Amino acid sequence: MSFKRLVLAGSVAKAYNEQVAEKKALASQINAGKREYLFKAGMQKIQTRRESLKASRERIAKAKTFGFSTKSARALEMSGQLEFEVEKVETLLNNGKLSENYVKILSASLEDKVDGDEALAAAVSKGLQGDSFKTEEEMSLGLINSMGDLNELQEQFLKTTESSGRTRLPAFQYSSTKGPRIELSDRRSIQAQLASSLSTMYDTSFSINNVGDVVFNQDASPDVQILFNNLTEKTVNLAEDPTNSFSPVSALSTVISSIENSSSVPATTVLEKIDEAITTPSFNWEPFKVTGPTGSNGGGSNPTTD
Amino acid sequence: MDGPIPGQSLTKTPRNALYERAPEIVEPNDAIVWHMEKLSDPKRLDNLLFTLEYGLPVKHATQAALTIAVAKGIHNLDISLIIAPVIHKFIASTAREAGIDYLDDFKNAGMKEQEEKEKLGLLLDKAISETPVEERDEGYEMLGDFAEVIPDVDTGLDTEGEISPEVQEVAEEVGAKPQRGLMARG
Repeated sequence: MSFKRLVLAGSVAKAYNEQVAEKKALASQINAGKREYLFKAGMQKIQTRRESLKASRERIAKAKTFGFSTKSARALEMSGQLEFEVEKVETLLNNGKLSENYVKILSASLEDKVDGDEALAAAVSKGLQGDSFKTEEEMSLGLINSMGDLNELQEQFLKTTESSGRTRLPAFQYSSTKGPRIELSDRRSIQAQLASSLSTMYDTSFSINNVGDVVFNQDASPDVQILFNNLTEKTVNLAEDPTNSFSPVSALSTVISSIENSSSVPATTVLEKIDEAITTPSFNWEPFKVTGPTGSNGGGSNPTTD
Repeated sequence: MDGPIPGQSLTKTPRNALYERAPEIVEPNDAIVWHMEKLSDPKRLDNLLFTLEYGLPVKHATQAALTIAVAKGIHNLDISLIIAPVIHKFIASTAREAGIDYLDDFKNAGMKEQEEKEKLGLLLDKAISETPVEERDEGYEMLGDFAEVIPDVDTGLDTEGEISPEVQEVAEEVGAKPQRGLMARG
């Protein structure tokens, strides 16, 4: 090799080494910046996210103990409404004031909403896919590290295999103020007003005993008593149902107005058609009216037929 | 019958597809620096670390990052093969520094490729769906890209092998200790 070529090769090698040194310095600089970020903010951010995820999972687990399904709990968590619901249900439960049907109705209604919306169902199910993780490496490893007890480990494993939505869905529309059971005093007030309406319609009378319960006179038909009991439950259910906005007063008013044109309709027919009458504002009772008086027996002859 | 007809490719604009162009980076050390810069970006770093904690192995994070770079025309597959061990070590050392207990690879080595990819897809989907709205930044998009390229990732690509001599010096800076093979003796 000639001296000239050797010089050329040497200068190329020098330039290459300089370039490598430059990249090495750049790599070192990037690493230093990364470490600075990690120590100043990054690790704290990861810890915060870890904690928020854990809290989210705990909320879902708690909601499930109250009777929410996994899907409905996750949907509420994703919409940011679960924290409020869990606190509310827990408080009402501790005070013995939780409506028996509240969680069941809300959970079923949310499941229907999710299942009826393709995009919503896809968003919720993405998190639910976590249920398929069954092996150790699929667990959240950071959580495993922080514990020694096997039971605790298993418990945490179950939590990590369940979804914990932190992504935001639009808030679900339901009456979030519902949940408390209708108190006995309200129930008695509802019964008194229903009895008053029914007594006019079926030409019977009732009294209120010393504990506040409605007692129909002995001449009243059992059908009227059954209708009365049923309307009471319907009014209470309407008032407690989180999927509507009825208060006890408006629920009672809706039930009474739905039967107000049903005079001359046998009590058994009213009972049969009451759901339809409540949901149909202009429900027509005319076709069900009987020719003779319904009277206190709540019966009467058969509806007119052409 | 659905295949292209002869000459169809000539009807498209030349050099339109990324794979028709020369890659942006042809020097392995430059590629390492490019990946380091991307992965060290605070917006991406926290998403990456959190996904590692979720159980995404470093090997697959490396493979996904390299596959994306090839798909975007940043560097070619040969560069990927050279720099894979360095990127693996960079991600692993970053996870260690952040106190994340990570996996280098799935423990079940006998897993079929399809099974492995399905598992990766689920892990990434879960990590994506659990990213809070306020943190949906470049890191969130990166996880989306990871999930998108999973079907194309070469899970057989060795990311823990020996570091190539041509990237040894830069590799030292990313926390990787170059291993000397028999050929390097003397």
